Amino acid sequence: MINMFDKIDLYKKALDWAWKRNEIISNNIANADTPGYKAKDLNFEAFLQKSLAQEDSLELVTTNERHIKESSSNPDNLIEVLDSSLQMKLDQNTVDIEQEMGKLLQTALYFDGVSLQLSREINKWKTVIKEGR
Amino acid sequence: MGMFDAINISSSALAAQRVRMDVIAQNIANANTTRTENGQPYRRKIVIFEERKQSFSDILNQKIGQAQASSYGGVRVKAILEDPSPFKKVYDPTHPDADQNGYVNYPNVDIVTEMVNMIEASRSYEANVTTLNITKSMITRTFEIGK
Repeated sequence: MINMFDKIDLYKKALDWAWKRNEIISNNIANADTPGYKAKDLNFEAFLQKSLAQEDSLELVTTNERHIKESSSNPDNLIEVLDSSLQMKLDQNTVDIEQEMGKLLQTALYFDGVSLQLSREINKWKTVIKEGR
Repeated sequence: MGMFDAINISSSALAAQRVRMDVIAQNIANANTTRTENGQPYRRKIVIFEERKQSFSDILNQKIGQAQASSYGGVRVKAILEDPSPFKKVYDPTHPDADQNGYVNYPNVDIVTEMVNMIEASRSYEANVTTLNITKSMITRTFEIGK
């Protein structure tokens, strides 16, 4: 039997990525005038692969909820520092504000698109549940 | 991934740019101040920014799984320092603050530099307002999921 939440889970991960990336880009723009700050980004494929693989992988057994959990599943490990030494300003800052604004817009549009698809998916299931009425 | 983390990041930047704007206004206002409280001419002030990192307890709570991973804190003003460059010397023997040779020390404020910095600060402010609005539209969009 098909799992009705498979697709919804996939959309959820895509939204998670866009949400996290929005945060990272906001931080880049906030630090556009901070000396020595390096621009960062979150790679979509790596993020998706990681979060999909996470479901199949075996979790480290912890016997107490306060035990330190396996940190490889932490999405923060996927954040990459962009290599844009060519655009480096005199204060070692690598934030390119135009590029960041473009990325921000991309992320927001992507987020809108995926959430729309997610809504449609949910509505499809609503139709099924209501037997098409 | 807290819901309002991105908003906090952008608002920290707005606050920082505002402090920068205040300091620039102070510099321009005192461009001709030849005598301050300590008897010296006014020294130009510079705002130093720093990336706001998480506190130790935030990171520890994350590692022991007590809190969700939220990774950024935005930007903060690290310090407001004085520009050590020399004062501008102007020959004006009639000035009450003139030295024995008739020279007056004027503040090391360069109006053109301050105006350029002011434009930069206001542009950065605008960029962060845009970021804030985009985050806002993303949050309202999540409320509409399933409608």
